[in-house]
Amino acid sequence: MLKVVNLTVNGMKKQIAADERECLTDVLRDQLGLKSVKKGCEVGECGACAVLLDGKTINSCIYPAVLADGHEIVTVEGLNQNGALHPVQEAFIEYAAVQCGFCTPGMVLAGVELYNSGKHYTREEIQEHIAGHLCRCTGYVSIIDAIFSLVGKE
Amino acid sequence: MGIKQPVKRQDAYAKVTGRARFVEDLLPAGALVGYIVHSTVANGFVKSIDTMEAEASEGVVKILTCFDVPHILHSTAGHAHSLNPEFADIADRLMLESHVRQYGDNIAVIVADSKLSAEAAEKKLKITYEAASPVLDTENAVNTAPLHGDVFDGNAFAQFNFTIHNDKLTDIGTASMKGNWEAVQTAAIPLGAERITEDFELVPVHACHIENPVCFAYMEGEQITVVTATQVPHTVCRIVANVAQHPISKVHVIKPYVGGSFGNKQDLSYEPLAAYLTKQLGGRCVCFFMSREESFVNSRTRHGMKIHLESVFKGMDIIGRYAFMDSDQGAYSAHGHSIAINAITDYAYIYPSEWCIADTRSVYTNKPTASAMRGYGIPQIVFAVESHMDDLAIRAGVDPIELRLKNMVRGGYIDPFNGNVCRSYGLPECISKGMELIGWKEKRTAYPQDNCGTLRRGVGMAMFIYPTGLAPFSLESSACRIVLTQDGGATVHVGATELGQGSDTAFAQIAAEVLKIPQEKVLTVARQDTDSTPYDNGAYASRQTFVTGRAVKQTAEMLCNKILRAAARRFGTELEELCLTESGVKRKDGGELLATLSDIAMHSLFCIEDSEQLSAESTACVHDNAYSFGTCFADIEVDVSLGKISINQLVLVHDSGTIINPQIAESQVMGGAVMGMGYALTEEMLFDPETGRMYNNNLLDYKIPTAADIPEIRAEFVETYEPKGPFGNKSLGEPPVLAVAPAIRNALLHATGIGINRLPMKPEILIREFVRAGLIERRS
Amino acid sequence: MWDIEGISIAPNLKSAMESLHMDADMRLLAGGTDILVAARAGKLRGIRLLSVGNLPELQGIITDEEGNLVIGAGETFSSLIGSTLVREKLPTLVRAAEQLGSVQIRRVATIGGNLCNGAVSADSAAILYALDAELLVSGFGGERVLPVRELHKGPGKTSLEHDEVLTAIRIPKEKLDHFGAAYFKYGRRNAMEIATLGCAAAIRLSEDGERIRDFALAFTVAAPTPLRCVRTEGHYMGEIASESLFREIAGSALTEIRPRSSWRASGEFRMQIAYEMAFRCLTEAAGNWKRGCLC
Repeated sequence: MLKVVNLTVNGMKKQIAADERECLTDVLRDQLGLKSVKKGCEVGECGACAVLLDGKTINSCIYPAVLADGHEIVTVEGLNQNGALHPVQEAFIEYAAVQCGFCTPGMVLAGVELYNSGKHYTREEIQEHIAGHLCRCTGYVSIIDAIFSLVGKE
Repeated sequence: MGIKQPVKRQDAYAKVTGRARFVEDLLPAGALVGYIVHSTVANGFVKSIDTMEAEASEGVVKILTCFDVPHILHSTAGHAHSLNPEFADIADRLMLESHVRQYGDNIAVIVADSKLSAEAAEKKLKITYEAASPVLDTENAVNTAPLHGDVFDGNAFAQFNFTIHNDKLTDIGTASMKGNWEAVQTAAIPLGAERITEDFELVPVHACHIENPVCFAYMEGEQITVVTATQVPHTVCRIVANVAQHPISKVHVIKPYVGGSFGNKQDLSYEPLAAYLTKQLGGRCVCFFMSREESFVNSRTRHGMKIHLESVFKGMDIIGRYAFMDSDQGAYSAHGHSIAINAITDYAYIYPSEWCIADTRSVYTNKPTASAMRGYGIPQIVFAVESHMDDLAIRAGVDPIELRLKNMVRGGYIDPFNGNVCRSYGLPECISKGMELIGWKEKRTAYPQDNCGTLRRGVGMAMFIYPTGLAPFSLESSACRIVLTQDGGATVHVGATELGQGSDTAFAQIAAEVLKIPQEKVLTVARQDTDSTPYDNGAYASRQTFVTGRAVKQTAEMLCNKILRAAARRFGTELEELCLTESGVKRKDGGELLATLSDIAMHSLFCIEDSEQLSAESTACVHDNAYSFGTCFADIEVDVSLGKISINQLVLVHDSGTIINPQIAESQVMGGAVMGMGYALTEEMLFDPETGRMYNNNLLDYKIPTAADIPEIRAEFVETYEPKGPFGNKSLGEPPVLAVAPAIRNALLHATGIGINRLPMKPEILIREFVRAGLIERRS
Repeated sequence: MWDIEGISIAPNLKSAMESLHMDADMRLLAGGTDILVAARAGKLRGIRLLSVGNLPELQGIITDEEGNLVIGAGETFSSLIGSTLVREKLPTLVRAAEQLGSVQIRRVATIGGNLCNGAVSADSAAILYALDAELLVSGFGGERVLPVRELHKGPGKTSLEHDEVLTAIRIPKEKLDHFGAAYFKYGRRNAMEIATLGCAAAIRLSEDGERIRDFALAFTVAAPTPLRCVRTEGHYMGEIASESLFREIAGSALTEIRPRSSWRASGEFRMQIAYEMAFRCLTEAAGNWKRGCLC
């Protein structure tokens, strides 16, 4: 059955009709054109589909779209709407934390969450924080370096 | 600007902003879903498929079964076409198969308006099989009914055996060389020499790129367009045209951004079927998006291998070496025996001894098809050989590095198979630098003194030699076109594909270097389209900066010449009097700036009398090979009672010639190190022995390392100059994965005295071996 | 698109129980990290899911009037980790929570869901078993208190009735005040892991710290349900706490567990690590008791 879902996506209020059986990934990609939300496993094991829900990363592939009603969603498309890159995006470029780019949107959002917390983190804490985002290209080192450059503490 | 600089990836912005479009992002709305029906037996025949009820199911557009597709045997291997039919890839599969050779084989396809409709229809299919027990290991397979009886009489479908004596190939063929080896034992081995014999086992593993294999196809008029995540667009085009029975001039393949590959997308997946179906359906778009579960089973794997090694040595001298390599091909040949050949020739290279004798065979089994994966057989042989070296060192009572230094390949080495010469050689420096960075000497002495409790530490190392591309054995061809843009920049068109490794950026650097154009004004076109992209064999064998790089360099040089000629014409001077500089075209004497490149481009293009687009195109056909070298050092801690290895540090030192982009190169090494760690410790594809079904085809149970698992990793380069590389460079893409697992294995040996000759070195195996060796008590 | 009938959102607990009572094909959806995976695998055809994760009746982490710690079943593992109260009263549960899945999973996965899906590997189960936690259950017919040790009835099976909802988990004050505890999860990776084996211990020593006054040892994945080593516990009460005793207890515990062999790990291997895990858990729990009854 279709249900009306009201949500804020990348700062814009949206009203959409979502099938109850649909996951948030599909609604974001197919209805709202947010193709940065990737599909790698569809069961919450890779993190490619991660989005910020009320500022926190969740796996949108195992999140029913109808439960997003009333929530605020941010994807990487929403990070640099004024033209300037978000500091986390800049750091990813600077530290060569991007290779194939498929895990990148989810990884960037994981970094944004830490950045927005206003706190500082050890390398181990950053590693733990991004452990639900699988990357097969970089070996994670450059990604951790990029995030650490913004929120790190020894 | 140019080479040797940490230039930022040209696609980084598009990727961090989520704007980079991958295959699934380009799917037209309303596309039909191609849904593969997979067999639920691993070995046997589909006897019948009753589709009547399923066809009437809601949303179903068409169902094709294995009985409906044309009988066009083909290979899915992404190799260049071979003009010599003897070297062609083995054509042993159909789009859909009634002869089932693996659990999950493709037996039918449902085309529907959605995956949900297709799944519902699948439940209404009535399928009958005539099933036999699956044959999952090579020893059994060689004695059972041939899986490809129409192509080969037996399951051991290929052999490659040789005898090398004093670096000369004295015997080569398909007959076993074991007799030669035994003859050497009795006749040619000096008194007092010892023989060491070991067996190694490597299980199949998966590339696990985060983007699954995906493709779709549609028609505009008579033209079929296939959009696919591939390393080899031109090869896809050729195979699709053949299998879908469509003129190749009316097929074009588009490769957008690819979400990782590591060799897996060097094979075709469902592109031929997508093209065939769109033809059947009046050009409607049909997509095939493999799920993660399918990706494990229906794309390709790294070969499982059993490797038997023997060495005869006296003191520090290795006199003779023998290998038998048994390569588990799985259901279809794909790249066939070329992986075993690549591995076994590498076996010969690394420790040239008086005698080097080897036998190999590739054997069909009822497992998923094995094919190219980062390293192409060499991770397996490096694990065996480098483990063997440490065991040999213990037997000989010598230091494992001393033993290696004494016996390893030297600069100037001549490849006994093809006469290619090793012209750049940094292996000794890779060893010494690694020793220094890991603290080898201190730790080798200090760690054993504390290794008595449950926590034990060890350091170990391993090394490798790795070729660059396939020359001179196979064709190495790359074409390039460079266009001078109106703003005085350059657009580089190549058919070698960016998969994440950074090749597009390296090509742009090479072009910028030659053309003396600021880096930010040079762009490599990221999306290949076989209608307009110059021919290239594709991305594989760590060849791009070596082969395609040469094409880019020579094309850029041609364009330089054209620019100067255009300038000479315009300013009424001779070409020889002009030169290109970073500000534009200058006179050689006096250095007067005549025109910027933008000026030249504009005047050339819009000249009413004599308009010319300034561009150049050329093909590089490379006949040389170059050998890369490297080492990996591992510092580990073992919790003996729990069977757990934790890695404190990995140090990788590589000789890949001149490094074109140090930052991208380092990132490549880090990624390979972690992939190697997964190979060492956690990754394996597990199969139900009864049914042949894969148990762990998901990312929770198939365990690639997470960010929480990685140790401190250090990547260093020993820069040599490879005279045959466009700028002294040679292979780097695959090598980082090669030596990690044996380095960890040898560190474990150092820490515990236990050598594990099987991957992955999982806790269960460690515990079993520790109990057997009396390190811990048996508790059950 | 999942192959299910649909998802509805329960407005309140009462309505949830009514819906369940009326619809035999309805199943509860909390965080969805397991059930939606089952849905994708086509295992929930014809099932209607009822979302209860956000019901206010299932939220809250409090100390009740008797001083017990009460955790709403709808609390996510992230909330547990972030809760000052849980960190103070039951840090072992925080450590167990931190080892579950990934950040994204912990953000939606609930402690109630972790228990109610009946998984023998549930990360929260071992420590709750060791501390004799109680489950507050509301059903169409009324409320009841169920000892957590009576919840699991086999892989994926629980003793909850179809129309019952787990509303909260209660950890007795007596345990929190007097015991030291520890949890050990054995996994292959440092994140994104289902336990190969889980072990929790809770120990109360005599005033002088010499003897074991009371203790509990619990395992997950060591039998078809999580379990306590009851006979071993009875046998070693009152003994002098020492390294050798803990080793003896660990050895005795092995007579009470029967881990199965699967492609994930053999029973033999699980027995081998169970011994070491029990020993380390007991040692750590005793240490935590000495540091002020840290549960």
